[in-house]
Amino acid sequence: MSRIKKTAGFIIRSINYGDTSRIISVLSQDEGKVSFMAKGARKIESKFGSALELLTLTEFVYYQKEGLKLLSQASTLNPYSKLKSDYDRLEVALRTARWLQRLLEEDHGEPSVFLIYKDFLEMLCSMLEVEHFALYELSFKLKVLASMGLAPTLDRCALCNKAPERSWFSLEKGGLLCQNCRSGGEAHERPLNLGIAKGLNMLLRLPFEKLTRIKLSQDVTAIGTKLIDEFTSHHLRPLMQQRKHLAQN
Amino acid sequence: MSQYPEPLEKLIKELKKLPSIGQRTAERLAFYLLNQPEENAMLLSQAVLDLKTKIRLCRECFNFSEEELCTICKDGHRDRSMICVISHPPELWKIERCNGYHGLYHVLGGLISPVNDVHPEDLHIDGLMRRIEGGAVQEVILALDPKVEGEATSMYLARRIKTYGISTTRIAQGVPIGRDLEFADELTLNRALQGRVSI
Ligand SMILES: [Zn+2]
Ligand SMILES: [Zn+2]
Repeated sequence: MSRIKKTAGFIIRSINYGDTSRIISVLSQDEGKVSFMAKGARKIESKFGSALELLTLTEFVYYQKEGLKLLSQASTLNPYSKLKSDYDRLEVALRTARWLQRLLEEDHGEPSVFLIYKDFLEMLCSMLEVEHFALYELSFKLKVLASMGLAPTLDRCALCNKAPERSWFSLEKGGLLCQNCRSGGEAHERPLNLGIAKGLNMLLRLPFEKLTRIKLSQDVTAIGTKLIDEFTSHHLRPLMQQRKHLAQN
Repeated sequence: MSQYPEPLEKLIKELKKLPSIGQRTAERLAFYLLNQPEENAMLLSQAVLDLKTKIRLCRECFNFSEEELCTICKDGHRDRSMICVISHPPELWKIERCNGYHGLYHVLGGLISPVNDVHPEDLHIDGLMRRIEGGAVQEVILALDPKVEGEATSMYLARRIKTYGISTTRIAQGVPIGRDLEFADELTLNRALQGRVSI
C-alpha cells in the first residue's frame, strides 16, 4: 500500500522526462530536497497547470511507488510573479536555485534552508537596486552553508582561535588561518584581507533586512562571491564522488 | 540468459537510445528490420547518415538547412520586416503549418536557463542583433515557451531590442481553444484577461 503524503516547497529544477512528463526538484518545507515524477506535465491540458513552474511555491500531494515519488496533485501557494516579471531578479533567483540544487542531497536537508530561500526570494522581490542583488546573493549562500554546518570561521584563526594580523582563507579548513597555522603554499589556501573577512562575517551573521544599513566595499561582494563559490565546489567534490559511488552500487 | 547475436544486440542497444523507445520496442524494430530486404536497410542507414552530413544551420536564422541559407531566408516572397523568434526548429515548422505567418524566423537554439547553466552567450542572440542592425526589420515577435525560462529569455531580448527602437511583441497567452474555462489554470486565465482584445 502506498501512502499519500503532502508537502510544500519551491521548484528549483524541472527536467523533461519522456515525451510528456517532467521530473521536478523541490526545496521542501519539511523534507529537504525531494524530486517528483509529474506524469503528463508537459501536455497543454495537464492538470498541474502553472503550479510546476520554476520558483513557484507549491503544495504537492504525492505517493511513493518503487523508489519514485509520483505527483498526484499540485496547487500554487504563491507564484512569486514579481520575481518573474523582471529579468535581473529572475536571473539571480534561477542562479541560486541551481546552486541549491547542486549543494543539497536528495531526500536530505535542513528545513531552515527552505526558510532562508523564502526570505531571500521575498527580499529579492522587494529590493529596488539591481546593484545590491549580488550582496544579498552572497549573504544567502553564507547563511545556507551555515545552516548545513559549513559556516566558515571569519573572525579568528580557525585552528588557534587567535585574531591574526595577516590571514589566509583555507578551503579545506573552511575558515581563516593565521601565519603560524597555515601550511603554506597549499593549493587550497587563498590570501584574504581581514577587512573583507569582516565584511563576509557580517553578511553571514546579519539578517537580510539589516543588510541595507551597512556599508561594504564592492570588493567584499566580488572577492567574497568568488571565494564562497570555490569553497562550495571544494566541499561538493567529495559529496559528488560519494553520490556517484552510491549510484553505481 | 542467452543473448541475441552480436549485430542484433548492437542495433537494439542503439535504438534504445532514441526517445521513448524501451527494450521491447527496440527489439520489435530490430526484428522488423532484420526481416526487411537489404535495400530498405540501406535506404534507412543512408537517410540517417545524410542527416548528419547534409544538414547544417542556416547562416542567417539558424534553422536547419541544406545550403548556407535556408529555404525561408531565400524565399523572395517573405515579409522581411518581421522576425519571429523561436527556441528550436520544430516550432518553426509548427508555425509554418498554421499558414498564418509570412515573415522570417530566428532560431535561438534554446532558452536562457541559469538553472541549467545556459546563459545569453550560449544562444544565437548576437546573430539576431546583427540582423536587426541590418535595418530592414520593423517588428520582432517573441514566440517562446510560456514558462519561466521562456519569460526570462523574452524579457532579456525585449530589453536588448528596445535599444534599436523597433517594435517587440509577444504571442498571446491564454485559454486553449476547445477547452472549458472552468478548468483553466488561474495564471493562464489571468494572462488571458490581460491580453483581451475587442470584438
Ligand atoms: Zn592560527
Ligand atoms: Zn534561414
